Amino acid sequence: MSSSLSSRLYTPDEMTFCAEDALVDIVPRIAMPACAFLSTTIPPLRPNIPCTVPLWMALALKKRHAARIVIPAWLASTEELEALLERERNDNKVFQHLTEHYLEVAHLLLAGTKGARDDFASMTVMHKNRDLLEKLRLVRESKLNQGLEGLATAWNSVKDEGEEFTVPLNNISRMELNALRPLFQGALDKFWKLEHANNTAATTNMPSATPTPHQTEVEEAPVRRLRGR
Amino acid sequence: MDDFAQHDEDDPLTQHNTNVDEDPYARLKRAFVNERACPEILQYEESLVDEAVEHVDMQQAELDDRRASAATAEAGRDSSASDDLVDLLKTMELDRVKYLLRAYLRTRLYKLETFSLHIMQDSNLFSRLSQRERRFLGSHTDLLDKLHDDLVLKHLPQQFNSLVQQDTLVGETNDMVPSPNLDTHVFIRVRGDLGRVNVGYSESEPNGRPSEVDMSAGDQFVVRYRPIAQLLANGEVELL
Repeated sequence: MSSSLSSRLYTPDEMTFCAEDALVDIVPRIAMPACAFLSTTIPPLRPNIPCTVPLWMALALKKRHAARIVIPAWLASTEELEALLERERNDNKVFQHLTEHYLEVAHLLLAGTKGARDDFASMTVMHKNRDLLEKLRLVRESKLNQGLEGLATAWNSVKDEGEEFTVPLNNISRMELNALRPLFQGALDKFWKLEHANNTAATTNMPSATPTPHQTEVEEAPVRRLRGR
Repeated sequence: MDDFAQHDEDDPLTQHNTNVDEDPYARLKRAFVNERACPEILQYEESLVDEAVEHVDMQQAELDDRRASAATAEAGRDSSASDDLVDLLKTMELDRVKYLLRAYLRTRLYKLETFSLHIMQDSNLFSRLSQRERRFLGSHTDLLDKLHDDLVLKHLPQQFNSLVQQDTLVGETNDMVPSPNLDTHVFIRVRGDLGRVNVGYSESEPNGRPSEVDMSAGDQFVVRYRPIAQLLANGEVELL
């Protein structure tokens, strides 16, 4: 726990917890009076009248055969998933929009006994969509990895112009962000530290040195910093 | 209770939009996520925590009542299936709110322990704590001080026996106090259109110039924490 706290990396528990608040539609099989929760009030449930509830509640009701879960469109329709995958493959720059917890939600819905596999149109559709989602995940992952490779180059070009380095991450889901966190944080913190040390050294310690941000100059910087410790 | 009942039926559908005025649960969750992803300790969300604790106590009492009355009415007629279901869902919701409260407070506790001396020295940081956290921090630093003193410091020459300084004769700065790295990079999401925002060096930082980036609602970035700390405090961005 404390190591995940110091690295600010979310634990799987915390990720699942957050994802369980995602909203899904259900079709109740039973009637239930309205419930007031801290988050919201769940309107009264009536048999066969669809209703929107948090995922944790949907799964609990489902487990007791009190409701059927309406699988979200992005996971239920093979055509939509195929189209999404196609767009994801064709556009190298942009990530397609998905709900921020799409991986965790899909994982919970597709889980063997506790999930909602039987709420798909058929088992064939379920298996097919699961494979498509996995492909989608891999395409996105490889795009992210390509992005990481370009990070160093991008950093140098931006720094030459004296700009601060920000990476736009639109449409990247929470799970994907969490996977990126250690690498991104580590690399960018290190870049920044080197840059900063470099600046300080160039202005105070080494008046004669030409402050061109060459690779060698950057690599020398931490050695000078160490002296002070 | 009445506040909760006044929500529109379609309210949950619009929650994906980050600008919607949110319910206490969503705010508490954001407080936790912000605290979790932030290198330094943030302002304690007193009213929010109080509200959640009150809700937990009330809900718990209600559940206990119902169980007690159900037990006495057992002989008469059995409670309906939907009552059981409501109880179950309420218990689950209770557990979730408790989990969130614990996770939030524990994250703060971790920061208090790790950066205790740093927070003690900075009145601005200290003012962000709750009463209980202040008391905890006080006794924690006292114990830390005593421990270090008993173990090593009192055996060292006076020049070197400070808890917060390496060498009291050289320099005035407290160079033995662990502090969070505010220049670390964080993932943020913009909550409203902010236009061009300076994410470069601020006026107080040497050797740099400001640089700006466009921020519209819903955008996600990875940026250095220091320049956006104020935006976070204002609630204009959230951490991820």
